[in-house]
Amino acid sequence: MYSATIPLLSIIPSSIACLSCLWLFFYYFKAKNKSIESSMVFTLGVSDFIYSLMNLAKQGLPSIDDAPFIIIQFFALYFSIYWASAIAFMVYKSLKEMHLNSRRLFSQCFGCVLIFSVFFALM
Amino acid sequence: MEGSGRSFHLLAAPLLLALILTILFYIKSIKLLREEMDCAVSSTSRYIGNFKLYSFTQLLTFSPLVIYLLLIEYLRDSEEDDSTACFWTYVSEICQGITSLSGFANSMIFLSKGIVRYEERSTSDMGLYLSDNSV
Repeated sequence: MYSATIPLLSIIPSSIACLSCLWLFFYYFKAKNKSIESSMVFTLGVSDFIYSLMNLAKQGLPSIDDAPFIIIQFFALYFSIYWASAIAFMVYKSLKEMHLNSRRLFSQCFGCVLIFSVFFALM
Repeated sequence: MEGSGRSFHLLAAPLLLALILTILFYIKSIKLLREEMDCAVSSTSRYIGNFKLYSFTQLLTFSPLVIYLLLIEYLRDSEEDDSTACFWTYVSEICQGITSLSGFANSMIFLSKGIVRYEERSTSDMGLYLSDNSV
């Protein structure tokens, strides 16, 4: 009973997520003035897209179970949840501090999230 | 998840920490908004509503996978039969599917609501800036 529905459980949500992320990218690249908020959402979209794409590819490609692919999938998963956390932090900081250098905070958070994601994905 | 060969707790711990931090920062943001501004103002209650929505989305999409990774080692029997193993694969796939949906949920929410943050207090209304349809 389960074996027939197992691939569908990954394929359907991952396909929906990939399509919505592509839609997000379309809006991002179409926008003339790319604000810091849109860059934050775009970065989150990229990591979600990679994770969903890996989930999707796992069903179709047998070689996707190899270590590099698993590391990429874990990296995308960690990056996605850490970046969501970083967005929450940046929102809080921007509400708290009157004169905040958003670009600098964005770069710092991006660097930290990248390092942590790589570390936990390789661990 | 099955083929990674790592401890499930090791996978879940950083995810759980990040999830708790996300919720914590949104709660602190809501508190800050409530302290600084008059909640009767409709825009403020809208921003608070947005924060609740962001945190709820993260909780809804990531918590099934985190709970699964935390509990699987206790629930799983080492001498389980094929049907039980298949059941846990089924549960794992459901959790990963829900986590995949975070991409969809985040895209939809941020596309429709934007991100609430301070821009220039001097130039914007009450110092709050809501980038509706920011992307």
